Amino acid sequence: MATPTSLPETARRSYWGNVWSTIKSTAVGMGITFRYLWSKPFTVQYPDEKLTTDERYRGIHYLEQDLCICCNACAKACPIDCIEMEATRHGKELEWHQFDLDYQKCMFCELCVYPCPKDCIHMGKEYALVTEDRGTLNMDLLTWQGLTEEQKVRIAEAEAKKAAKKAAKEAAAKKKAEQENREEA
Amino acid sequence: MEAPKRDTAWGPMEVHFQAAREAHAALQEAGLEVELHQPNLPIFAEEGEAKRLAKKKADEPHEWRGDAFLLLKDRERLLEALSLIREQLAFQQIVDVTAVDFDAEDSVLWGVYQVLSLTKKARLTLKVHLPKDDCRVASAVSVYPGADWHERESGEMYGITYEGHPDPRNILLPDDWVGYPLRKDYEFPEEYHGISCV
Amino acid sequence: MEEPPQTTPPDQHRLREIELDVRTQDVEINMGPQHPATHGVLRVLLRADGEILVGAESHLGYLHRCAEKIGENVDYIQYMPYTDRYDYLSSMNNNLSYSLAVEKLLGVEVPKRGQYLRTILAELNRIASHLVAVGTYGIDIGAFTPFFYALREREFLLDLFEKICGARLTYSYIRPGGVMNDAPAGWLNKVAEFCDIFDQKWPEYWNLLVQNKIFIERTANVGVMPAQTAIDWGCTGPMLRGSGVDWDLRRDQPYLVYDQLDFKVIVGEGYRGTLGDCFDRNFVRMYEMLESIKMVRQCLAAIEEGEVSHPDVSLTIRPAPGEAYVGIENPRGELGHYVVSDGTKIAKRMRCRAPSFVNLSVVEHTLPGCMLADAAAIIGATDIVIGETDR
Repeated sequence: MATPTSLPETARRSYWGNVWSTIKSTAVGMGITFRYLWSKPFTVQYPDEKLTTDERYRGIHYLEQDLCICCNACAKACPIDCIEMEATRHGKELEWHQFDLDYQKCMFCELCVYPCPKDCIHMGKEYALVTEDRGTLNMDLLTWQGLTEEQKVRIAEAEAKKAAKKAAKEAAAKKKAEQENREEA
Repeated sequence: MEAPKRDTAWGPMEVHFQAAREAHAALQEAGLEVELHQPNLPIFAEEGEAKRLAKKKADEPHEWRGDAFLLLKDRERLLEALSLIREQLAFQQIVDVTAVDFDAEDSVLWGVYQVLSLTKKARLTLKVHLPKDDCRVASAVSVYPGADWHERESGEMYGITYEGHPDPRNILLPDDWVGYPLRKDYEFPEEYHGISCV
Repeated sequence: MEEPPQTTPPDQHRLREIELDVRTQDVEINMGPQHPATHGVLRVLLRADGEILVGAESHLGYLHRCAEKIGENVDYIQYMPYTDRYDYLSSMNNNLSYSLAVEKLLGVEVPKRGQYLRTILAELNRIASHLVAVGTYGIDIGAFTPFFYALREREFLLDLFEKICGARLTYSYIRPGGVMNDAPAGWLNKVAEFCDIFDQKWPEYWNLLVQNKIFIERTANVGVMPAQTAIDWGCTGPMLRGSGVDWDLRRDQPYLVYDQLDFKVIVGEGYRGTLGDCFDRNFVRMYEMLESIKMVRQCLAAIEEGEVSHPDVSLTIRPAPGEAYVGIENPRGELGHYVVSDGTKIAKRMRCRAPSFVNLSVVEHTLPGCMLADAAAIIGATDIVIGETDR
């Protein structure tokens, strides 16, 4: 399929007409740019000045670790499986090992936020993820690893309670057995 | 011509059903064996149906919803059907040529042709079944030039040979790609020219 | 439109004679994959006889990301972020097309407020996309300044998008069943403010770029595509309307609330050259932006309080088996999603009919016969996004 080839319109129009329309359209364009010569610039000098991000901005995640129950709902919702989490359970308390989010893969779609039953994972406002090393992009969202002192105290309390309960139960069982023995005798 | 009535939030439906019925009659009159498939379910779901469906088990029996389509029985007569659709029924534009591999155990692929009529303001879907062991069909380029790149794409993705296509090279994949990626039984390669794919 | 159209159809035969007089050996020139005028990693192999092109061949696939294969492996809701990434300049429209296809399978209709919000966002996104299209087209043919003006208004739009969904490029906002969350307080007033600002700024682009003498010389009568070619090759959007075909899915296949809006379908009219040249495509884009503003204003007047999402559709989607094709008017043409479901959580086929892919396929046939220097102008006027041609 051949299409018509363009001939410069100049060849067939009056020379001075062309000169005139060129000068005119240049003058109109210059007039527009001239008006902006003294207005304030719209740009900001990025690393020095930063624009504020909005309330709903979808930036780097943050995790409310004390609320999280390690249910894997966010990891299942993620389209690219970039969330990995691991924790050991001590009764009600969680001993955190990892909550990794791989920002090499993450596409900031916010789908991990919606299924969370405890509402503990959120999208933050940070956005600059510039790095020289790719490995650093696999980020750990945990604020602490392992057990905190409070948790240890709580676990100890819970264990003490449990032990006391167990001891009480055993004592009761022993008493009962003794009673039975006595009755038999 | 007036624009068709907006039946739903996703566009008109009745005008497409009407076009499918008309095309079905016209194709049958021309001696082509065509089946008309119309959805069994109503256009709109009842209240709470979507919620119920989301919870149901996968193997529950179910009805068909969505678009109507024509199934052409004899793939050898595809060009005949397409030129009739273009010339007589005034579907001037080809929108899409693609294929569907519904299940790895199925013995056929579906070749799907979407055409559009600028005058009737209606769409039409034509399907042919292509056996997987003998996957060839006539190229629609002679009827609809716009099918060119679509056929190259579904040719490389599904391994369909479009007979009579002017330029049947790969378009999105490299020329030496092994296998047909969109088939359900496709196995992902371990590496490509020394680049690990895992 | 003060000046009357002053054009003369090109004297094809005379030009041919001159060129054939000095016939040289054909030269093959690689345009791309890294070329600023191809708007991404597209490689066009041009064959030139002197200054005149005699052949062109596109090589694509550099940005192929297997979107359709991914669609057959993830949930319906999980696929939604991937639709953002076809045509990253009009993500809202991509989300919309996909959501409408899934809703057709589900048989649910989004509440009225959701539909109005979707319409407003789709139209705002069209403006944002056309601003980049026209701005970068200026760069392609040598005018750098209008690009900055276009991005200034786009920045306002991106701020609006950030306010409503938190992202500036890949929105993932319109999802099957509705939208992610309602507009924040005062957002609609901001949109109205933008409409007023844009009405004032629009003549700047028109005078600075489109009325410019050099722009007209570079685009009028260049890359002419007759209406029949455009229809035959499946062109859609401004490419089709630029060739004088009066076809717009928003009017002719009304979806969402477009049937209640009063707008004009802009069709190229050979204002500066032959009908269907590069100028007409940009002419269509320029005036479409004004029509979009008109539509947004009407939506703002009509929008009511209420629900934005359908209560039945949650994050788990399991549509009835069936198949649905929904094509909507993207800034670049008809973006269609063909979804085949078998009643499980994962689709059996997730076909994306991309407008850029089809519009690019015709360029190979428009280029032969043009001047080598016009190749950038013709490819630029097609307004392709490589993310979408390759998917």
